[in-house]
Amino acid sequence: MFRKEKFKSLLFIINSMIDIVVSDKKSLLEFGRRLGYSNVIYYKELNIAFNDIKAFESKKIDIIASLERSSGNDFMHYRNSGLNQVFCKLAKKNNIAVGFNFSDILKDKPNIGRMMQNVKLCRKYKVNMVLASFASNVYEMRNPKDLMSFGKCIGMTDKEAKDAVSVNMEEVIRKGQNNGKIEGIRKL
Amino acid sequence: MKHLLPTLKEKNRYIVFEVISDKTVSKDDTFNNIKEVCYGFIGKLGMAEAGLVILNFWKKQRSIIKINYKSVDKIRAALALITKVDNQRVVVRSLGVSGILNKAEKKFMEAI
Repeated sequence: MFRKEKFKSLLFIINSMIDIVVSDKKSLLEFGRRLGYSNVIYYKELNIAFNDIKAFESKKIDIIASLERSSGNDFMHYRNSGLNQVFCKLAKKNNIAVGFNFSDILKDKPNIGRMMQNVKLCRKYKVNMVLASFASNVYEMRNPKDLMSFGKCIGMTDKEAKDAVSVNMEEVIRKGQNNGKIEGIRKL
Repeated sequence: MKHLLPTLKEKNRYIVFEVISDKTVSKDDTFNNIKEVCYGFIGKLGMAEAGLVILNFWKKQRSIIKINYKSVDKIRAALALITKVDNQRVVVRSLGVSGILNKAEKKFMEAI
């Protein structure tokens, strides 16, 4: 019995699920805990750019999210997903993770097809993927396992989907702490 | 008529889900909404493959969905897309997946 509990606690440490939110209300942290997250981080604690292509050249940026929001129609032979091989190489070089924003999906015109293309590109160029709710209120937050399921639906493998919610997120936080870009992650 | 051999039967999974809202929502509205959203997300063909059945459980805003084992992720993702039930903002979260109905009921429905 003791061993089982210890093993469970170890599992919890390894698979600590982290979510990123856009609001600093305390209710989000409480609700996040209820959903099964070990930590909920306010997006200003990290260096996150939303749909900003120029940010790929900066080493200070941790995550670039919502690339699918880029305006304009899709092209004839490929989608206008805001990411290509050039940006992927830059992201790999500067250790920037590509973020998939779940709250975009809940809005009127979700670009799931563009996300699928971005997943393929990220896999090919070994860019870290991050999947978070980026919620502004409690009603936009979702279970980590539901987010993982969504990740699998857009083409991630089981491991990629799991890493996108936990391991890659921890790596992003570690990067921010090591480089001294942020003073330290403040829990909400 | 003879029963279908067990190896020829579809393999099912049972997803237990919970509706989180400020005010209580009705069972029928929730079930209708789930079907609508699933149709919107995976389409008719996907629904045919999934063989979605919402079981007649409703306890503390929790219920069980029976689906084919290959469509678990699709249905889970579809459940996450539900934002409103009966003009109320809600969060639908899946509590767990089991291959046995009895265990799903005991583990996720009763343990609150």
